Amino acid sequence: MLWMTLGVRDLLKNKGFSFFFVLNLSLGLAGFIAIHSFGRSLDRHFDTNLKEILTADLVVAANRAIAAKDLERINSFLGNDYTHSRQVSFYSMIRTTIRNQAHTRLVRVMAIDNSYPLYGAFEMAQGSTPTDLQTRPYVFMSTDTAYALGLEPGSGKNSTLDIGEQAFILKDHVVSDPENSLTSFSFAPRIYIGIDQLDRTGLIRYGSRIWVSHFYRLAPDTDADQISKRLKDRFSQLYKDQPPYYIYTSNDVNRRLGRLTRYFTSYMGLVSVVTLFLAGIATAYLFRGYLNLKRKEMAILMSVGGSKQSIWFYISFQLILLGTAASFLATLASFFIIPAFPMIFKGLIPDNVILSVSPSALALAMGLGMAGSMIFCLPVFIQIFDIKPLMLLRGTPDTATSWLKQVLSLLPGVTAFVMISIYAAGKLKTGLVFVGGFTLAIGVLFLIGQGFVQACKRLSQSRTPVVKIAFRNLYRNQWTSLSIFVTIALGTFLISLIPQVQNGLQTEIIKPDGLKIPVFFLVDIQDEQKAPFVAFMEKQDAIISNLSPMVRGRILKRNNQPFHQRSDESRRRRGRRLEFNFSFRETLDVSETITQGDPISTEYWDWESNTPFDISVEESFAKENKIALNDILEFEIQGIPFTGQVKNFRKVRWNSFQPNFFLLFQNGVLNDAPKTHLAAISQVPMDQRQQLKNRIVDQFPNISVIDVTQMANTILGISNKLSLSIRFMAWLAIAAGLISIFSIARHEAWKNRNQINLLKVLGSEYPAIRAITLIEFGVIGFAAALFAILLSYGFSFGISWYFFDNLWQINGIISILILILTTLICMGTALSASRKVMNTKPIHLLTSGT
Amino acid sequence: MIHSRVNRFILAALFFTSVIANASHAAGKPYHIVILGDSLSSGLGVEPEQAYPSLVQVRLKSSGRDHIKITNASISGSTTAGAVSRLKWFLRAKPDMVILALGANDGLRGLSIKEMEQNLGACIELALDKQIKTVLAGMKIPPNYGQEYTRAFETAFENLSRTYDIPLIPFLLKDVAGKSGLNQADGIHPNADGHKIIARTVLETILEQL
Amino acid sequence: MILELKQIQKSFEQPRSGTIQVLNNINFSVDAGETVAITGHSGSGKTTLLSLIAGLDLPDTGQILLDGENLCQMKENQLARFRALKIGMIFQQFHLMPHLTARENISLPLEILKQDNIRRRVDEMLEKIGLTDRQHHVPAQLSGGENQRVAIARALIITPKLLLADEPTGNLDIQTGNKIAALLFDLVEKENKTLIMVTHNLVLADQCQQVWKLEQGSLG
Repeated sequence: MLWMTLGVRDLLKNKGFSFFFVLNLSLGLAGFIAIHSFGRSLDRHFDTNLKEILTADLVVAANRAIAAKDLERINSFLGNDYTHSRQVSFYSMIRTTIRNQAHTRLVRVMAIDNSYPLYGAFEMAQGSTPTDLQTRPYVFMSTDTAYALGLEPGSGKNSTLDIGEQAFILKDHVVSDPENSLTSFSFAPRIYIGIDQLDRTGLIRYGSRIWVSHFYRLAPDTDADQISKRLKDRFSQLYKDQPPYYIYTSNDVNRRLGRLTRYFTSYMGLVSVVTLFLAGIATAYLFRGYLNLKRKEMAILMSVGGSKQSIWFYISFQLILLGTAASFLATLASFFIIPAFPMIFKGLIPDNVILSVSPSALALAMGLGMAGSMIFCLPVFIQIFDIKPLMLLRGTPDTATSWLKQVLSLLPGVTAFVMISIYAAGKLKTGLVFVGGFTLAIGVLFLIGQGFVQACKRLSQSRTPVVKIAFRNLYRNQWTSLSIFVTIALGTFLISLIPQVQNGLQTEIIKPDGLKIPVFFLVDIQDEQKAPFVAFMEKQDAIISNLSPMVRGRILKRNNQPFHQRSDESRRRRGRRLEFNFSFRETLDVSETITQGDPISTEYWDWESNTPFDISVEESFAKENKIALNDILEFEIQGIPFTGQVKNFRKVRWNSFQPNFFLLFQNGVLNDAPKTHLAAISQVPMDQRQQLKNRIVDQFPNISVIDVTQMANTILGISNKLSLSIRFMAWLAIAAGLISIFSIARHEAWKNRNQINLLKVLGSEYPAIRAITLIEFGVIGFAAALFAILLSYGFSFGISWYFFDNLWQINGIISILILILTTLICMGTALSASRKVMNTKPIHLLTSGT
Repeated sequence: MIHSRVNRFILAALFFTSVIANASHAAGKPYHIVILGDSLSSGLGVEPEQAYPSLVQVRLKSSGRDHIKITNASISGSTTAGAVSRLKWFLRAKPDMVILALGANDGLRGLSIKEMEQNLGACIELALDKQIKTVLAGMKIPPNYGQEYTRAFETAFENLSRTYDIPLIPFLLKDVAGKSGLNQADGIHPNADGHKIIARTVLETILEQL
Repeated sequence: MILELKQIQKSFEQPRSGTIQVLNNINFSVDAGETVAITGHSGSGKTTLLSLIAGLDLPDTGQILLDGENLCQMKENQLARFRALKIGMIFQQFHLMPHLTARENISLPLEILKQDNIRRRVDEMLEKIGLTDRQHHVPAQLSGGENQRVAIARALIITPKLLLADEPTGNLDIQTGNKIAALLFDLVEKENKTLIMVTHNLVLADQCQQVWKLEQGSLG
């Protein structure tokens, strides 16, 4: 009790310091909570987004009814807590009679049950629900589709359509439907009927081509990918490598979108670990600083009979009190700040993201604040146990702690850090890589710091007194200088890791400059239709944003070896792909860039030359099939052999929405081959779309028009959100990091006040003192930040290489900004501290005990 | 100058004729069959040797009909719209018989049957005009497309066969369609076993016409 | 005999200049109630000697017997408690807890050692040093002399057998120093304490019953 009372009394008497300490610590912790919570919220948001696209966690689908026994097998993998929905979809020609004229038209009939969708929802013009479809022959469709079919909702003459043998009534318009058709292109508009009405159509019988999907929504935090993998393995066993079922999760919906969200999760992990490290550094620094200030008091207490245990308890109790206060303050602040994010940062963060304080972040921050004191301060405590009250007589701390003891005392802290990092990163590997890199960085920065101190020694030979004093101070207090250098450098290093990765990711995610978002894809344009089609489109209120010839053929050999596509599980399921589409184009699309090799020749290839023609290979295709530059590929197109050579690798931006091809050939190879054309149509006014579609079909009946508006909107919407979030998180992390640096610098400046005071007592004028302080802190801040940023380039490149498929780009502006801000923060805090000292009586500082 | 732009396809066509010419010395009169089809004929998802055109070729050979050469001119995803221009291209190889196995994609995409009939009709006229024996492979569309459309679709092939008086394989996927053991997981493309059955069906017709 | 030092040797390792012999074969004894001054130049080993007597450091060889017990053979925690009970220390820089009031500083050792009648004993002590009216002030609010009085009171409150003072007036002006010295000697005499004082203030040293001069680690 005595020690607790003493501890509290001490803190209360020392209000200024306690407040300052708690404020500094809580800033760091609040930053961590905010970033972690924000990241988790966004992660959840994108996860839900993906699930809403699929409308489920897991889908098992087949081109026939799934056997009851297999459904039971599936259920046994899902645990007890799941919901289920069944859907049957198929193409059909429906009939309508408008003004006594019969029309038939291809639609995609989606027969849904009451539970559909498991994620997301229908938005209906009149608020109907899937339940309405089950008991009566009702149908839902979009306004566009209804218009195209000449239908109006209600019970009038113009609201009936025949699907198979049953007349259905258009009940309501779908404003937005749950499935965004990212899974496949659809040649026809979707219409919805109740699954219970399916039999009445008489369309489902032997030979019918249907698609049966079973959707599953699993308990939260269930690893759907893991279940999917196990199910696939199980069915592979049962059906001897020819499983009749397609099993996919939200990550499979759109491979690239899935990959991007995985990037995002990794990125959030990175940001989270970085802010955790920053908060950790600031916390450890403040705690250790506190302990060093308390050394003499501890000696006094020992000299009047306090045992080491009770003194340890006394100090720990104080630290825990301060840490707890800071954690509570940070928690309280984050409860106010985080919900205000969408308002404060309107336009900077994605709309419709539900932000909530992450309980795990709170727990971590609490743990960091409360238990952190014990863990981080153990190395200092170990030294304190070797303090003798002797220092009261000698005036200098006399500690010689053994090496082993010091290393051992670091272990709990390091262990805790590793564990928290793994937690914050969300992955064992990620966490370990970060911790490893961080340790390495500390080592490197320590060495650089020593070099810096040596450099200060040289610079202290200056003739300008102020400069001389400043550099001499840095050099003479070399341990202090080194520790500030390393700490500030570590902080800057961590902050600066993010912008490069962010820049790389963002460049990958945002839509390419000059991209025209397509509205329609047109397939099967015949060669002889090309000219009339172009002429036709010129008269329309739209543009052709891409028109690519397409020739189908096989790849026979690669470097004289038979060409086989890698036969992984998915290939096996879909059957081996041997046929490919080839194309050629005069200039690359805006979404394409050559990553390796030279552009393919623009010369007209002469086959008589007997030289192989140039080929451009899409990067991921090359990687997947182990194709290298200068490889010789042999093709067969319509029975004719060709030989080409890989000239370059080409990266295609994932969200280009343009017809892209794995292989592009040199001009002249395919010009006369039998081919069709693919076109993308852009810039069609909203209200013109349906008419344009009808006009194209009327004019060119063989051309299929695929409406990609919704898909493009979904993907662009998500990528915009991702991009926005990634940038915002980077800024947030930088802000949090600068705050940490600020609290470290401020603490250091405060410690420096004795020296300033001494200068003052010795008669230095304020301008000289100010200059000395500014040089000292400015130089140390600048040097630390500069080296840290340079080091961070190397590390962030490594991180990008390891986690983000090499998406890395120097973010020069932000680097310079970080450099300037760090230097300014160091100088600013030092300046304000020195000004405070100038306004204090020297005697007060001398007597108040140091 | 013109010479340098002679494209490979034309030369390849010449190449065909020369091969055939050479073959004629070996065994009887050379006979060239072109199969103009879509993914069902191109063998999507199976090895080229497993697709029915190759199987037919192998069987012809093993029955001593070495002089018959089959060219598989099938393109996955193709519709009847490109039939005429594709046939024109293969005319250069002077085929003796053409098997038209198109239409499935027209049907699946719900394209106009009238249009399909016209496309195929134009193609048949061109072939007949060049005195090429023409065989039409009939197709059916799954019942989910609705009775009216599926019937109209089937009838189109019968009509064409009757109008031009050409032989008709009533249904290319006879005994294959709808059988899970004979199709790939997508339920529409035959697997290797399915192709064996199609080969039998097609071979029967070819032999009848020789 | 309250304190006896036998054949004390003490040296320090210096990274550059090698081993420095600070104390060389020190032998002396002090009887209860005696006052002793140790004088000498700076660096003569005064402070080292004092820290050995206080049990804050251990000699390389030799024995230190306090109240019949050998300090050199005690375990660390045992020594700390023994020291707290038997030795009162007064420092040149006072070394008071900065955030505790005069009263709290004085009562601190009693509280730590869990003694009885704390309030009464502190009241008496405050009266003895004449700071009853300033007892609720913190060190920063007190003068140097007052701070040293508090420090003396803190040293005496545990009724130690031995009082050790390291330049007790070194941080004070002459007048205040004299007053503090007078108070110290007065209290030592009244309470019958043994005092060992390190000082190079010869006036102060002369007031002690014995004066030992330390020269190059040996007593002259």
